[in-house]
Amino acid sequence: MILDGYGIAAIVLFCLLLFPLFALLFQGGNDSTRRVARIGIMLALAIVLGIAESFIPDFLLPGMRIGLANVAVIIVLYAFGYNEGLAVGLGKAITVSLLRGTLFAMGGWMALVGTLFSFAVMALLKATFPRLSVIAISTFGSLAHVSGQMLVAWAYLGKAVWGYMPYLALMAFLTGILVGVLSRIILKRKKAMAFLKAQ
Amino acid sequence: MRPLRSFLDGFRKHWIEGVLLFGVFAALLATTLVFALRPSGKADRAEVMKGNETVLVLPLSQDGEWEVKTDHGTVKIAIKERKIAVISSPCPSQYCVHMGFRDKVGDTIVCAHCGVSVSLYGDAIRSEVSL
Repeated sequence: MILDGYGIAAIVLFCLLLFPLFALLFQGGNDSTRRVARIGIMLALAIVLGIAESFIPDFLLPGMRIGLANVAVIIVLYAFGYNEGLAVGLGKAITVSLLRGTLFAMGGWMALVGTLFSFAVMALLKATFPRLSVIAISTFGSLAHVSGQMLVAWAYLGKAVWGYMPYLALMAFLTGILVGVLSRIILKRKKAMAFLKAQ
Repeated sequence: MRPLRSFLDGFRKHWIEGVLLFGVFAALLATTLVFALRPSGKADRAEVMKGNETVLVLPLSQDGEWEVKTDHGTVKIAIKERKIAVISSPCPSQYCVHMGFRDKVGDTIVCAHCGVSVSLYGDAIRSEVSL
C-alpha cells in the first residue's frame, strides 16, 4: 500500500481522534494500569471481531453483519462503565473503518453513527431500567444501530434505502438477541469477570 | 436439563421483558411480511439515482442498457422484457447484481458502494430524462 498524503493525514487524524477516547478512560484518577490494559484488550478484541466479520460475505441483505464486536462493547459497558463502553465502541468503529478503508466514506459514517445511536440507547436503558436484562438492552441497541445506519444511508443514497428498513430491522432484532445471549453467557462466567474486574 | 432450567428461571425473572421483546418481534415480523407481500402491480418506470440526484428516469417498455458513471466505477443497468436490473457494478459484494431483474412497484436495487439506487414506480409515465 502506498502511503500518500491522504494516508498520512488519515493516520494523524485517527491518532487525534483516539486521544479524547483514552482521556475518557484515564479520567477520575481511579484507573490502575491493569484496568486500562484490560479495557485495551477488550478494544483489541472488538477490532479483531469487527475486521473478521468484514471478511464474511453479505448474506440475506447488503451489508448485514451479526455484530459480534458489540459483545466486547457490552461486556465493557457492564464490567467497567459508560465512559469505557463508549470509548471501546467508538475506538472499534473508527479503527475498523480505517483498516477497511471506509473512514470518512459512507461505510465509516454508518459505523460511527450506528455505534453512537446504539450506545446511547443501551446506556440510557441500562441507567433508566437497571433490572432490564442484557439481552433486551443488546436488542434495542441493535435496533438503534440499524436506525443510525439507515439515516446515514438516507443522507447518501436518498429515499430508496427505506425499502430495506423492515428487513434490516427484523434482522437487527435477531442479531441483537444473539449478541445479547453471547454477552450474557460471558457476563455469567465468574472467572472471566474476575479477570476483567481485578485491580 | 440444566440449560432448560436456567432458561425457565430466566424467563420467570424477566417475563415482562420477554413479553415486550416478543411484542417488538411480532410487530417487526408483521411489518416485514406486510411490506414483502404487499399487493403491488407491475412498474412502468424506473428512477435511477446517484446519491440524492436523479440521473435517469427510464420507461420499462424500452429495452436497452445504460451506464451510470460514479467515483468508484461504472454501474451498468439493463431493461429487458419490462424488467430492470443492475447487470454490472464495481462493488465488491455484487449484491446489487445478484438481485437480478425486478418489475414490481416499490422494488429498489441499491448499490451502496457506488451510491447508485434504482427505484420502481407504477403511475403514469414521464418522459425519459438523461442528465
